[in-house]
Order: sequence, then structure tokens, then C-alpha cells
Amino acid sequence: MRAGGGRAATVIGRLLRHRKGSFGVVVLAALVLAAVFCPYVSPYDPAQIHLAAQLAPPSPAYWFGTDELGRDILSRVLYGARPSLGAGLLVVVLAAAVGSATGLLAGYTGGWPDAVVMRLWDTLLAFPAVFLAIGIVAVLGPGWINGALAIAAINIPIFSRLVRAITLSLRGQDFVAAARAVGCSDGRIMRAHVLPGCVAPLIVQMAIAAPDAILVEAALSFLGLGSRPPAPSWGNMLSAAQGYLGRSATYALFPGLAITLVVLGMNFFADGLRDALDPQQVRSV
Amino acid sequence: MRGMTRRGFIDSVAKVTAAAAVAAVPGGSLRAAAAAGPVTGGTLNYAEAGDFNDFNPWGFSAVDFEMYDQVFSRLLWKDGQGKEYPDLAESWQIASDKRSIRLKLRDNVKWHDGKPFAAQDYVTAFGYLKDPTIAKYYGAQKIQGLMSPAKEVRAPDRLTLEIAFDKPVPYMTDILDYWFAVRIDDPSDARFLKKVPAGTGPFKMVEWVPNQYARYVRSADYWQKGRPYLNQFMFKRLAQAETLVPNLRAHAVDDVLISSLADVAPLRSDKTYAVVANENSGSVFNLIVNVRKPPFDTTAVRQALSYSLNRAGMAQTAFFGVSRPITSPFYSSSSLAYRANLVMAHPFNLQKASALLEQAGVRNLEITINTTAAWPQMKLFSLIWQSDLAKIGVRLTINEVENAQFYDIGGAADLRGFAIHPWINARTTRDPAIFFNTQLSYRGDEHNVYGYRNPQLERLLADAAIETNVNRRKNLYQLANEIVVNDCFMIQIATNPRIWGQTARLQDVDIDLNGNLFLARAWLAA
Amino acid sequence: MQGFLVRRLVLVVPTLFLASLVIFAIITLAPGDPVRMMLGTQATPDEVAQERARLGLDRPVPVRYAIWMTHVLRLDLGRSQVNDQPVARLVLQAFPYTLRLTAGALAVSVLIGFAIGILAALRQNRPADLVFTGLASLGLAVPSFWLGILLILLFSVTLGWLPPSGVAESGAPPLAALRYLVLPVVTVAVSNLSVFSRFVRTAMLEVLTAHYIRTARAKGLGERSVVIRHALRNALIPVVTILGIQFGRLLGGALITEAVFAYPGIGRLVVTSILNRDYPMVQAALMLVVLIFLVANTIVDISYAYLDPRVKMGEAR
Repeated sequence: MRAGGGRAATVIGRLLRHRKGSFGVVVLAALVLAAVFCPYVSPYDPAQIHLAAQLAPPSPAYWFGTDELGRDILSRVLYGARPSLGAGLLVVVLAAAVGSATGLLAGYTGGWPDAVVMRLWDTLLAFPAVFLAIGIVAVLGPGWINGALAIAAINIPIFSRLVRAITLSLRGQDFVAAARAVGCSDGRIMRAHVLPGCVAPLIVQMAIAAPDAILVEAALSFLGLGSRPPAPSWGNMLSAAQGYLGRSATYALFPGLAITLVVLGMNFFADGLRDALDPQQVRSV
Repeated sequence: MRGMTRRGFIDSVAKVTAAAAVAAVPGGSLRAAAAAGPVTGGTLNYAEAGDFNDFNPWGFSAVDFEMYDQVFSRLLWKDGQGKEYPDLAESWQIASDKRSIRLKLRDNVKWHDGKPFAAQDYVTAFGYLKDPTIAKYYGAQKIQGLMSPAKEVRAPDRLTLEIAFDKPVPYMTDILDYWFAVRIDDPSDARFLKKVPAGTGPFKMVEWVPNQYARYVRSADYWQKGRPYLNQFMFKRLAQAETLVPNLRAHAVDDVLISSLADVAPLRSDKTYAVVANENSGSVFNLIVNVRKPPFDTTAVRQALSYSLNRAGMAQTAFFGVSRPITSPFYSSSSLAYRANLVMAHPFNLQKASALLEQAGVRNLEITINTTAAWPQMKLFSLIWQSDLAKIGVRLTINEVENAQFYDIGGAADLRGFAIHPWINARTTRDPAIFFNTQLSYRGDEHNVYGYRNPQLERLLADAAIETNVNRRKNLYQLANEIVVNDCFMIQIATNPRIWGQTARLQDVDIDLNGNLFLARAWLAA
Repeated sequence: MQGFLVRRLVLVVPTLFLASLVIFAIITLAPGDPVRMMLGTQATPDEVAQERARLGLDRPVPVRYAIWMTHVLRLDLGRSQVNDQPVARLVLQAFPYTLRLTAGALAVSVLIGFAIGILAALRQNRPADLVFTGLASLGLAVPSFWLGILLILLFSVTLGWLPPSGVAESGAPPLAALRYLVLPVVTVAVSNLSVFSRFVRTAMLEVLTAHYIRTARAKGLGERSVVIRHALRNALIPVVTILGIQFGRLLGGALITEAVFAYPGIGRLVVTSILNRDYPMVQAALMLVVLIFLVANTIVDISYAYLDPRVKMGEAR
């Protein structure tokens, strides 16, 4: 694994030199910092109501203005990083874990387990993702964790298919046959020989899925299926802001900017990571 | 008694019409058009949030109000000032003992499907109240409550109707003001959901597209010749209250019932629109308390809820200064039940709320409150309440549900297991007998499905309903008011004025005593 | 070609069947009693039990599924539990709205996406290219519901030009109906347009450096004809693939956009009926969405085969 450590350092170095990738790293770092340190950097408690300062425009006291209950929008945007980052992380970790386990199993064993698993994924992929997510949230009940579980569920088939495809291509290769010849168990072969080959594409897929998960989480809370009030999330802030467009033009601005910036940054991060992991690939964008 | 009531109404409605008049005359050309008199034709595009529950006017469902007066007629109707106008009845005579009324009906009135209307139709309608299939429909139960003093309805001939009561009814014409002429051809469809209804009003309902709109066209057979002036009344339903005023500004509609109160102030400052606010609509925002569910069976706990409500802050913020904070439904000095010291009897006091809970031995109270997008105020006051309750260790969860589900929970006897549910009740400015006979959740007997029982309240109401001495009647209703306020089984939060934002082109819209639009003589200036 | 077409379409059936199981699982597992919600006020336990029996909800789950499926196969979709209207009518009413929205958005994003993609590819690494690719990245990151709100803020609240929600009533003049469509279509189109333009640009760049293009240029063909006749057709292949993938995003985007604009399409119907636990509606609307999605993907597969002769169409050919 020493070589792996060295490779990681190279990849990070390439990522930081990548124009878009470095921007992505900065945005991601800012998101993590906001999510972790929001209690220390927020000027106000995000749930604190200031009835006298309803729908105030940006001012020195409230940099981003206030919402319909006089709550500080800046503080709420900072706290809104939590469900977003949380959903992004939970989704990619869950989808990658379940997806690689099933993909590995299906690809390596073939036969009926393969058929069953792939048929299941075909079925789930027959639903437009957002529709399925809403259906799953209907079963689990609203809330950001349930929302994240639903988004993970729509991502699992993608991860699973990816890992299965790589497993299929690796299964027939010499080093796998050699390992089997020296008496390695199937479990060991999968762990020691097949899985490592999947790591780089998995990481790239995780980087691609994360900003998408954040977008879908925001959409679910916009529809009232995500975070419960008074917990702030960017999606439910926007849904509330829609009610006061005639009174405050800035209210709807900042939560949307936050989502856009984070998703843009994470898309760039994914681009950079892909290029950094695979420097041979022609850089197209 | 009537004089008292009426003066109050004249006061309130004078304000309304004055405001409308000021706003409705933005410029010379329009004034000229108004002076030139009604123009025939055109479509009035009207919009509200939510969707229709049903089309039977007996349901008095808030989401359907503005279609009732257009499609259906009554024997007589009262305008915003409480002045009586003939409608299906040309004239009437009330017996001196106030136990019966004889009405002469208009000839040549037709239902929208062409069938002639006759006195017998009202006898049949009275019979519906005993039809087991129809009686299950909540709208039939409402009209049954209103008509409960009526003993018999007779049609001695085609155009004469006699209604007999078993007790003196000092508020007889108020009852008739509610009794829309309805023909239920299919008892299994008392809500008129499967077929568009036939009425006798100025507009005929021709189309319903669920979640989108209902279309009403001018009825050629309407008894007032030459009316209505409008060719068409389009009643659009928009999912979100907050898109109503933007739709008005984008000229997609001409008239909206504003339920997103943040929009009122900006619209008032714009002269191309008129803002018509009916402050005395008699509608109130309140909380239904599930008194069957411990610990809310304890009065102290319910009172704690009332003291924990920062009504003044809510009125200013959640209602954008449009509503008044209240603890009594009888907030209008025109009501017989009005008593000044009850209007805001429970000022915001968290210490007191906390002490009341402690006294009742209640700790770690958890409550869920349901809100709906159609009434954004509910979510806002819930959020304020949530933050205040948290300070005394009570956890309030806010559960946003769809409109239909919201009404469903509020209509269920057990509130679907919820402890409290925000609601809106109406008719608090009408005769208290009407109020208590229709707003059954304020009753203390088996009529109250939510389970509140209070024989003392019931005795007061029974005595007051037949009391012919105005001062004695007033006294009885004020005692009832005191019980309502202090027992906190229905907790008042704020008044709910009905506010319309409309194009200044819209002229001569009547608002009846129920606070509903009546468009028989409305017209659109060019 | 016909055999291929039939086989691809037949493949839809088993997936549709499995999807119906998923939909049934969703509504069976979702908490909340539809009967209590349906009977509304003052229903006695007896009435609830009767209604459950009438709807067959007291039967075992597999039997209920079988009953539902037989009804669906007879095209009997039941009645909405909320407003008592036939489900088929409500679904068929909503469907054209979604179709208009998605077709409009697709048309806009394909047209503009292609134009921008080609332009960017021809001006590779020049300012126009950088601006376009930058905008495309932004378009991908902007959440559609925020974009919708910003458009309402500008065009409805501030300028009062376009209606912020709803649709025109039936029988309204086409221009009036169109006014309602503009903002939702733009909202759905932006993210798709960004994806298209990126893919078209990439595909064009690859094709433009390919040897047959160099040959065509060497033959002295004009640049215009090179781009249109040779490059575009070959660039179309990967783009059609992305079209299939994008269709799901398009429907998802339509769902959220319909919520922003209170637009009465299938997406809103699904969201509303799920929130209302209106089971017959949820089942029917979701089935329709899956069907549309599958059919669209099949069409994409077929056109892919048509555009690229290398894809084997099988023995029928």
C-alpha cells in the first residue's frame, strides 16, 4: 500500500494543479468548514426569530438579510451546509458500499445472482430518478436522512453496474486465474485482486454522484420532503422564499447561490479528479 | 337586537366600500367608464389557492365559498350591511309570535338544466335532511344544524312556501339567508362531484377540471333580466397562495383572494389594483384541541397553550399586520356575545403557561401541528409558537400536509390522533345562534365531534336561542363567550379578514353578509 | 428493422411488470390509512371496515396486487380517493401538459444545445468557446427550482410580462396558452441544454480531427459542407445516446418545475397524490411515467441503431 500512498499524493498534486479541480477543492473545503464550524462562525442562531426585522434587506447587522420571521439568512445558509454535505456524503458512501458489494458479487459469480441483481437494477432504472426518490421518501417519511437514503437507492444501480463491468473484465485476466490456481478463496480474490481495480473508477463515480445527490436533496426539501422546519436547508429556504418574492428580492438569492456554487465546485472537483486519476485521457472540457 | 347587529355591520361595511371606492377610481378614464354604467360581456378570471372540496353550497367549505352565490340562489339574501333583499322569494311575512314565515316565490324561475323551479323544491330539500344517504354528508349536517328550529316546510301552492318553527326564532331571516336552493338528483352524490350541479343563480357551472379551474357561464334564464353582465366567470385554482398576486400582476387573472398576506401592502400602493378588505368577515384563525387526548383533557394544559401564544407578535409577523390578535371569536363589537375584556383575555405569558403545565403535572410535552401551503400564515405562526414553546420545554413538530389532507384531518372526529390542529371558523359576527348552530366545534354537546362536553354552555345556548328580550339574550351569549374563551377547547389566534386584490376595472362586486362575492351585477370596465 | 423494433418493444413488458411490483410495494409500505383519509369526517369503525372490504384492502397483499393488475389490464384505473374523479381522466388530463412541457424543453435544448456545441467546437479555446463552456457548467449547477424562482421574480413579479403559474384554460387562444409555457420550458431546458452543448462540442471535436474529415477537407469540400454533411452526422451518434440518458433528467426536471410553477402535469399529480395517499392515482401516474420513460429509451435505442449501422439489428435485417 506504500505505492498506493505515493499514487494518492501524485493524484492530489495533479488535482491541485488542475484549474477547475483546484476550484472544486476550495469549494469543497469551504462546504466542509461551514458544515463543521457553523455554530462558531454564524452571527446568529439560525432558528432565532427577530420579529422586528422581518424580511430585512442585507445590512451590516444581517449580511444576507432576514427571512419572513426575521431569522438571519447568512446563519441559515451556513447551517444549510449540514444537510447538503450530509446527504452528499451519506449517498455516495452508501451507494458505493452497496453498489460495489452487489456488483462484485454479480460480476464474479455470474449465473442467477447476476441475473437477479441486474434485473432489479434494470427495474429501478426504469423510473426517472426523482420520481423514485419521491416514492421512497413517501414510504420512509420526510426528513433529510430518509431523503438521502432514497437518493442512495437511486444511485446504487449505477455503482453496481460499474463495478460489475470492471469485475467482468478483470475476472478473465491472468492474475486472477493465477490466484485461483494457488488456492485463493473467492472472497480473497475479490477483496485482494478485483476490488483494487475498481477503486479509481469508484472514486470518480462518487465525485460525480455527490453534487447530483446534493441537487436532488435540495429538490426534495424544496418539495417539503426533506429537512423539517425549523432546521434550515437550502431547499426549504428557497421554497419559503418563493412566498415573499414581492417583498424581498434578496431572500431567494443566497440559498440558491449556495446550491449553485457547491454543485458547480463539486462538478469541477469531479472533472479534476477524473483527469488526475487518468492523465492519459484527452482533456475534452 | 337587530338594530344593534346591523349598525355594527354598517360600520364595518362602510369601511370596506369606502376603501374599495378609493382604490377603484385610479384615473379619469375609469371614472368615466364607471359613470357610463355597466358593460355587458367579458370573462372575469378569478383565482384562489387550493382546490374545490365539492360544489354543494350546504357544505359551506371555505375553499368553495366564491362559487356559491354565482350558481345558487336563496329565498332571500343579506348584503354586507345586513340589509335583506328578495331572491327566489318576492316577498314574505313573519308571524308576530316569530314561529312561522310565509313566502311568496317568484314565477318563471328555472333550474340551470331547464326544469322549472317551484315551492315544492324547498319541501323536497327539507326532506333531504332526513334521507339517510344524504344525511351522512357533512354539508347536510351543517344545514341540518341551521334548520334545526324548523319543524315543518309546506308548499300550499306552486309559488307559496310556509316554514313553521317549534320555538320562537328571533333570527329567522338569518337562517333563510343560508338556505340555498339545491336539487340532489343522485343521493349518493350529495357533494356534486360526479356531475356539475344545477342551481338557479346567475351563472351556470359547465366545466370542472380538478386542480385547475371550474368554468361558469352566464345563465340566460336568470330571473333578474339582463343580468349577470359578465359572460363568464372562470374560477382558477392555483396550488400556491404565494403565486396569486404575481398572477394578478402578470394579468393572468383579474381578481384574487389573497391568502399570502405579505402581498397586501405592496398591492395597496399600486393604483391599477383595488384591495378590498372585509375586516368584519367573522372568520377567525384558531386551534382545535383534541380534548379526548390526554393531557389535553385538562383545562389547565389547554390554557397553558393559550398563554404560550404570542398573538400580538404573530398578528404583526405571520399575518403581516393585516389581522387582529384575539382570544374570543366574538371580537366584533357588533356581536351580541361581544365583551371587551374577553377579546384578548390571555396575553402572552410563558411563565404562566409553564406554571399551568407544572400544575397539571405535565412534562416534556410533545405536540405536532399540521400546516398547509394554502394558508402560509399557519406555518409562520407555528414557527413562532415552536420557538416560544421550546423555551418552556415543549416540543412542537411542524408537519406540512397537502390541502385536501389538511381539511381531512380537521374534519375527523379524532383529528387522526393529533392533539391540535389549526383551523378557521366563520360567522362569528352573525347572530350567535347561527354561529353556535353551524360552528359545532364550539358546542358542548354531542354535536361537537371533537368531544368537548359542557352542559352549562349548552343550557346557556338553548335559553339564548329563544330569548326574545334583547338584553337578556345578550347577557346569556356573553356568559357563553366567557366559557369558550377560558375553557380553551377552541383557541383563537387572530382574525381572518377576507382580502381581495383585483383589477381596478372590476366594478359593482357585492359582498354578502357571509363575506362571499356575489357577481350578479359585476362588470368589467373597458 | 421491423423485427428489431418489435423485439425492443417487447422487452419493455417484463420491465414494466417489475416496475409495477415496485410501485405496489411503495404504496403498500407507505404509512397512513387511505380509507380513513377517504371517508373523512365522522366515519365509524364499521364504515371504515366496510369501505376497506369494498376496496379489497382487507385481502392479503398478493391478492390485492393481482386485483390491481387485472383492473389495469382491463384499463380500469379506479377513482381518485380525494376528489372522486376517474383516475384515467385525471391522468390523461395531466399527460398532455407534461408532454408539452418536456417536448418544448427538449426542442429548445436540442436546437440551442446543438448550435452552441457546434459553435464552441469550431471556435475551440477561443473566447466564445470559453464563455459557452463556462455557461454550460453553470447551467448544469443551477437547481431548476431556483432558476424558476428567479425567472418568476424577473418576468412576473418585477416586469409583469408572463404569468408565474398555472396554465391557460381549455379553449384559450394558442398565444395565451403559450405565455404560460415560456417560463417552465426555459426552466427545464437550461440544464439539458448545458448537457447537450457539452456533448455536442466534445463529439464534434473528436469528429473534426478524424481522418475522414481531413480527407473531405483535402478533397476541397467547403467548410460548411464538411461540418454539416460529415461531422454532424457522425457527432450525432454519441449525442443520441445522451438523449436517452437525458430523458430521465428531463422528466425529473419537469416534476420539480411543475411544482415551482403550479403546472398541472404528471409530475405535480404524482407529488400531490403521494402526499394525499391517493393510491389509485399514485399507481396510475407512476405506471404512466415508467411507461413513457421506457418507450422513450427504446426509441433512443432504435434511432441509435438507425444512425450507426455498426449496431447490429439482428437477423431480421
